[in-house]
Amino acid sequence: MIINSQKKKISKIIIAVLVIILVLFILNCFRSNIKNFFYLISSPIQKSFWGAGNDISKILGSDLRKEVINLRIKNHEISNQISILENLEKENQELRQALDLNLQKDFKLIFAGIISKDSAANIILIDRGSEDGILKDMPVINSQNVLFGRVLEVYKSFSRVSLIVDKTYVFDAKVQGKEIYGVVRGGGDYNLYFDFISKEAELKEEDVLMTSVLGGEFPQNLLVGKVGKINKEDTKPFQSADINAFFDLKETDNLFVITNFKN
Amino acid sequence: MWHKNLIIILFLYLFVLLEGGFLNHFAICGVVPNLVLILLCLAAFFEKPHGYSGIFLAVFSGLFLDIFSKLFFGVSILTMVIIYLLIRELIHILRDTRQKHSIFYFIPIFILCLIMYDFFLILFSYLTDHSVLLSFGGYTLLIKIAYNLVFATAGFMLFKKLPALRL
Repeated sequence: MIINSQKKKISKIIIAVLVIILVLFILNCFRSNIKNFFYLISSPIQKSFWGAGNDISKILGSDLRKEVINLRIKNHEISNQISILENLEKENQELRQALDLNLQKDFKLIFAGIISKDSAANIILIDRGSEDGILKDMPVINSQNVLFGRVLEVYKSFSRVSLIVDKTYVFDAKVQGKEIYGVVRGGGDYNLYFDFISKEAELKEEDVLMTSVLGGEFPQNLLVGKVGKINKEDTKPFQSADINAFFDLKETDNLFVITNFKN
Repeated sequence: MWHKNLIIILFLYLFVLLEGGFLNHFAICGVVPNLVLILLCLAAFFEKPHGYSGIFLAVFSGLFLDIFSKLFFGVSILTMVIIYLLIRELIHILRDTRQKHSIFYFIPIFILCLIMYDFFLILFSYLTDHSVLLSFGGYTLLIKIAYNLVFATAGFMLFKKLPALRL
């Protein structure tokens, strides 16, 4: 009698497990459609949550005044840099023509709004998908030319973008205004590192990093971040540095997907 | 009973949306309070002894987390079910005979669950998908524990004062 009831119990458990596996298999077969459907019905709420969070966090920012002053100072610095860069661009154009490099001057961009961020991973959800012309691996930037990451997964009306701090990222970068090249790699948990820099290179804290044409992963001259703590050891063949990434999700509502870049 | 379950499911849905949107603007070093896990831990902790009705809560919370993440369906479900069963087993071992819900039991159980959640999520996601690498441990784990404990403690007080919230 006891053996029979135990057998029944075991068979029930086996059936339950098999049903769960079957359901999960079916769910995963239609994963893209199911997720797209849920994002579609949730996106108005998610967008309002994202916007509300952004507004409240700005109001609660205690150092708001200091931030404004700092931004004004930075604005002046950037204005100076722009005038220098304008001159450099002229030179650059001439050099490009001379080298006959077929680089695109402007990007074709698709405007996209951030809907949410994955709480477990460095991934965000944007409100543009395959029906808008988004494809996997397209670079994602903001209006200030700051690199955010690339498209990881595309649904019909939405896409997932992995942020450059993710551990899967490794791409070439250079220091703005200097002939210093290295490799940027994501460290997870909002950490970003600049690696494989020549020991002779005169790298300084606050140096600005930009994507380089070398790796071909991203279009060149996208802003990555500022150099933080530099690690230079005699025992190591290269120097490395921490990077303070420019991208800031807390301050961002909208992004641009570059659709005409081929790596 | 069904209406209570429906309300819980709606709350789970709302919590997942809050985690992905609103709370991201209050992230500390990228860490956001895991409201869904907190709710599951509280529900499992305050559930009647020998009861396993909270398993549906674990399944639905995992399902919502899977929907609103890049993960395959099943990764978070499995993680949440394991966490739920772990809490139930720990409660059988730790809880005193008078059925007093002590915060001194809850806090270590919750911290353990948080660590186990991260561990299983990373393990299962690594086994199913290599396109994203999640990190485990480090200083962010300490931030995660501290930040989540604030919300979990507030939730504990709420569950203790309002027995109607319990399963």
